[in-house]
Amino acid sequence: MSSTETAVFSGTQQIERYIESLREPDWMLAIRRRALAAFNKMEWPTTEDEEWRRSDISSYDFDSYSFDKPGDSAAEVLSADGEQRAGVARFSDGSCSEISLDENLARQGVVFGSLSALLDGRSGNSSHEHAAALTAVRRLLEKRTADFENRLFAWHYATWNHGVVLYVPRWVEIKAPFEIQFATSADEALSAPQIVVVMEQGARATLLHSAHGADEGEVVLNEAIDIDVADAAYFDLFTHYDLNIDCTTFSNGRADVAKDAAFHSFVSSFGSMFTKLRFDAELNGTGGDIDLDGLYFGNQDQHMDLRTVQSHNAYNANSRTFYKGAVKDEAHVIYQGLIRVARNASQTDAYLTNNTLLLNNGARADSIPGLNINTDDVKCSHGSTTGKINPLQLFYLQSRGFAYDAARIMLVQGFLEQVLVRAPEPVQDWLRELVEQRILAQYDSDEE
Amino acid sequence: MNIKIKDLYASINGQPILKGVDLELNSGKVHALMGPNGSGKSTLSNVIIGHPSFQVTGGEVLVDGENILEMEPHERARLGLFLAFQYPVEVPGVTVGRFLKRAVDIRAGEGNTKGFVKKLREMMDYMEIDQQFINRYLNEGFSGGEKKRMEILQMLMLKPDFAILDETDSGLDIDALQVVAKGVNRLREGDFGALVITHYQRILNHIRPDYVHIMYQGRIVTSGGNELVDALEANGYDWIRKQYGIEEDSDVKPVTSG
Repeated sequence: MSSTETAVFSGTQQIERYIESLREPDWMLAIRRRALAAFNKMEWPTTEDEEWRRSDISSYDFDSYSFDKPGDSAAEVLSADGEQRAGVARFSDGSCSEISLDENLARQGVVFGSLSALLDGRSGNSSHEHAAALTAVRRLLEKRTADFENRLFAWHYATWNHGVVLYVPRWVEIKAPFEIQFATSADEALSAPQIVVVMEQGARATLLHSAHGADEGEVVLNEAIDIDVADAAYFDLFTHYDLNIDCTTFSNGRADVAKDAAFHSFVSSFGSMFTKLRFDAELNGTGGDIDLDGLYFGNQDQHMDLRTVQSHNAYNANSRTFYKGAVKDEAHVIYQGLIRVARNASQTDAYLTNNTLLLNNGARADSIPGLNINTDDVKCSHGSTTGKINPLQLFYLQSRGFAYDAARIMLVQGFLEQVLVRAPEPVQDWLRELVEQRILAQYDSDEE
Repeated sequence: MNIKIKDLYASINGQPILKGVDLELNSGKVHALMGPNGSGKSTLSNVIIGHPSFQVTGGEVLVDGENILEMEPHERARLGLFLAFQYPVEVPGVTVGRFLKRAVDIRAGEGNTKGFVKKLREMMDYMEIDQQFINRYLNEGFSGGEKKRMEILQMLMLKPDFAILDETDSGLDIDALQVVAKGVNRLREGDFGALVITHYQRILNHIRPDYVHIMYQGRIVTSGGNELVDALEANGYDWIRKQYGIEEDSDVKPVTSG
């Protein structure tokens, strides 16, 4: 249980003062205080914990990262396709720099904007939709914080300092994607963004989200994404992590998927020295459908630990995980995937696939798929491969005139293309460019 | 293009396969290379293109006087050599269209590929390949016959000076065989040359060779014209052995080159 060392975390008083300063509804403040109490009782995950066995955070001094630290830049990355957006929310070092929402959608009751503004009533909107959104956000966040699985979760819910809410009312279908950007440029700062998405019955939407930052500055990102997809709704989430090589990224995403609803997530991991991403998706209704896709490309001496959980709690639902990536230089990527099937979840159809390509000898990858099945009459499978570029493919391309390097690039691109084509269409070309840049990036291991 | 193979020795995993091959090939001509399984036909074609699994232990391959054995495979391709693979390799994630565009860019020089898509569609029609294959990943999930046609389509698009067809006929039904033969014959006018490697005479009824070479136990044992094909057809490979006084060689096992 608790130890005196963790209880005297020097950040505690700072967090307490921060919570006191907020103009939020009592229920939200109560969540924060409960989170802080849990935080004070818990210890940071260690390599003794199965999930953290290969990701050691013992050398971090999390006390030294202050939150609410201002920076000065907001790079734009995602809007490159020039296509229409249903709404845009940009944050720079925790401050909101842009919020927009298509007027037609606002009229239809869609709520999209700063979570803080929704909570403290700053938006001045007391409409029925805002009340509905607020109720839904409260219900979801209270459910999520009923207990805290580890200290990072507790830390996040106590300290989250900016965020976005997307609320789509019943049967509203939105074609153009929403976009959220969290940019950081501060140094030794904690960035704790919170995304809350509620898709009411039959609603349909796509969200493109990226967390990125300036070329310099050491930031710890501790993000949570909480999603509720109601009956017959559909939600498509793209998340992209590309903070600079001095940063640390933690993100915990959770989606509850109801009857006949569908959820698709595509995670793209490129940045940070240390990354620990986790996405838990739960099928809670018959006929639900989950697709979890991931693309990662580790280089330099990056450490990336990616975890997915597909939980079946209902009869006759489908889930599929497909994570694929490349590792070069001295990077180390860990993928952990779990299919969990509850006792009542017969007729489950679930599988997960993880394929990693090692581009040179110093690169490492661990793939740890797992099954936890508690009923009969299910179709569950997993497969993982870790390997190098196939010399026969290389020879085949060379025999057609491709030089060695060009052939290698084409094969790596081809390998990643198979998952890349599952990303939302507006970001595909942009992802292809990032992949090419990373293939070509030079690494000097002696560089300081 | 003139290709001179002189006293060529090669092995795979320490097992000698080619044991002194002498052969001269010229563009403008179609050569057939026949021989029983394990005689070294595929090894010869792979060594000419530069397959990394084979070790050349002696001899040389001269293309217009220049020894190519030290060259990278892509440099040999850029000289105008082409290999239609016995077992075409699947390249997931790379579409036929993208692959061919890049390969033609390399062969013709970027900017000299005007009308590429039109040409590709025309050649696909000619090879009776569905246009949807442009967006399929190269060879992935293709049937054996589709892979072989794809090899010939690549050849038609890349227009090599000299092509080696490594058992392109194996596993093809008669319709597919005729399409493949049609593809080769299309290039035959002019300076194009080919080495058609086969175990059977069947494809040679559709691609009439100018010269026929017979390989046995890692050597060319005889060369001639179409009469050799007829003699083989009538008498089988045993006839070659007896005719040329070759001892049964228990060492020789069928070799798959991949």
